Amino acid sequence: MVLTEMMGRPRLARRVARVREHQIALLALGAYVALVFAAALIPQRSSAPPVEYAHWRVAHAPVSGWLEMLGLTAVASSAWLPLVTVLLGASMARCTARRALGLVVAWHRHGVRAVAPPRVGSVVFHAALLAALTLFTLSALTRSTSHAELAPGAALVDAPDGYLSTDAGPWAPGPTGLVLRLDDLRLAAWPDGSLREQRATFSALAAQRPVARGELARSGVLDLDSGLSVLLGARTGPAALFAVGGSVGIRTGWVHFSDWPPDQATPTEETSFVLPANGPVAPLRLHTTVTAVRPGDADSGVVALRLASGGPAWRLRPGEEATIEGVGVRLVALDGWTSVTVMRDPFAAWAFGASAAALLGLAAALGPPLRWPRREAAGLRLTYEKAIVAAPQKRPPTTGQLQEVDA
Amino acid sequence: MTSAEIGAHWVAALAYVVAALCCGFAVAFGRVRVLDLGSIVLAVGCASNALALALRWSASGHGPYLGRYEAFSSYALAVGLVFLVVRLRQPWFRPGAVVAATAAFLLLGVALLAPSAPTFPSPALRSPWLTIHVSVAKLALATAVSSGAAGLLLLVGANASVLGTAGPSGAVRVAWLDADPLDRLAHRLLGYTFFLMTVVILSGALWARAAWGSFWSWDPVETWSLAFWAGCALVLHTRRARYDRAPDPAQAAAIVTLVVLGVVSFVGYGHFGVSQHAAYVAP
Repeated sequence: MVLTEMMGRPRLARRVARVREHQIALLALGAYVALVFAAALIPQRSSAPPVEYAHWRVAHAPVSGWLEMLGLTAVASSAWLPLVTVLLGASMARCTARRALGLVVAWHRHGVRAVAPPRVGSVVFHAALLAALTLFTLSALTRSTSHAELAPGAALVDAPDGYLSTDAGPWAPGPTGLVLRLDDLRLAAWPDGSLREQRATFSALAAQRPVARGELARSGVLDLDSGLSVLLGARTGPAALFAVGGSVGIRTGWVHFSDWPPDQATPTEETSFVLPANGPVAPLRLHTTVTAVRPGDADSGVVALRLASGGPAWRLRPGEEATIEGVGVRLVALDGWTSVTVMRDPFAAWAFGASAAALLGLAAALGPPLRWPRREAAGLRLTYEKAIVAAPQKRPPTTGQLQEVDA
Repeated sequence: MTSAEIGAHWVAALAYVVAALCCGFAVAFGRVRVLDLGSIVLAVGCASNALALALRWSASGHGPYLGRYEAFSSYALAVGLVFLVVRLRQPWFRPGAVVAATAAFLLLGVALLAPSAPTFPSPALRSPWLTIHVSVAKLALATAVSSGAAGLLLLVGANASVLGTAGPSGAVRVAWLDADPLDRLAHRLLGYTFFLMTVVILSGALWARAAWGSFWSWDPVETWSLAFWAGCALVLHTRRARYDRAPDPAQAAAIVTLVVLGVVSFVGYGHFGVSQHAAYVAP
């Protein structure tokens, strides 16, 4: 305001002074919608494939340059999004504080009946949403992530206290300060090769002290301690590619099994392999006996096949074939990799709590207009008296009936 | 897919289209009883749709959320059911059946044109968040369609008495609905949509952290859902900012536009666009 007065625009200064936080919120929400629209409609540098983005950039040469200059081809990382979020947050903070103060004053002056649940819910929702936004921001700023992909060829190094570690990531103390020991890894696949199950048991060591031991499934997060969590990678491994042939045709599929850590005694891991549909075939049950499979040395693996009905196992090396009850099975290849991500995110749990509070507040704000129970001499009973804090302008009641007019 | 399931789906599609035609005729010519008949036919369609989905569920062993066939069929059912619930509570909202029945028919039509072979749920889908995220998303879309129906009636009614007035023939005609309750209903339903969308986005973010490693990844479906959510917030706050809160055609137009945006985000990008979501839900 002072700035505009200094610029000799008193009318504009008065108009700016009259702007309320509600109007700022509307402006910020409008800007938010516009930015998100831009992010959805304009190819984004971070998410679009580089070649496609380059083609688009050349094809729309003058416009794409302006859009890049304005930051609209990278909305998520541009200054616009934080700016609008801060504007919205400031408006929400002021609005919430004012309303909360009003509720406290009304409560003190007129008692609990003056404070209707929808009003409380609205304040709780906005406050919790503000808290959640802040916590998500803090989480993004302070989160440390360490990722290791145990690809073929990755070297193994020793870690303290007998814990295994790679030179690639979180096994050694890194940003997360955690050393993990992978005690057991179980993998299984669907007939089409997609991963059916991936489950691992870890022991975690922080500052030379065991902090947790737990089992982790893929698509799950193992929360260890104080915001420390482990995610099992989506990539699969170790895997054996079989070609299965016979009177019902040729089929292929990946079979995943356990082999890690290589020098520990995990000799047998059972997994089932159901042949793809092209006629019913009795499922083969595979027992994988891994002697020395390790990343980079996968060819030394031996896979044992056994029928679901039991019986002796057929031990195969890559390239070898066996005929199992009239069905030819060939072990094509053996490969392996998996990945583990260790993440320290101390604000994740708080952000979750704030989100839950926001939902509860919103439910109360949008719920039926119930009033607080009123305590009377006879006991507690629910009253439907109108709250003292009423709407500023009461409108005439309208029934909204669909009228049937008999002409 | 069993023959009973196919039959139930086609009965539902037929009922939806008959309901849409009945209600369209009733609105155009002002026949209240035909409007009621349309609602009854819509309820029959919902029952048949629910039977088809129950048969599918029993055969596939998982809920109706995998692939366009299951997803669109359940969207159609949700749209019809939510409208019927609203209509039971607010009987004067009968003309909204035109929009609800048409939307349900179109959604079921897409389902019937999609491949119907059963698919296995991928491992990432086997999560408790799936039930919350997907079922609430369907409810959100259905509530948004009902809100859009109220907004559309308000928008059309502000322009002309399309529903007709008392005619010279002495027949019972439909007079125009009051704008006030229509406006309140449209905004109330939009408020529910906003709440449900908040649940959808938050549950999706928590699930994405487990499945994809981060809360938010600016996937097109996420981005459009955020635009829809922010748009709902904008419209609701705009109404609260008005002192008199009188019915406003511009607000009604905004609601209708928002509902179209919601359909784009859920149906368009979720099932047909290039998105991480499409990889999970497309056949």
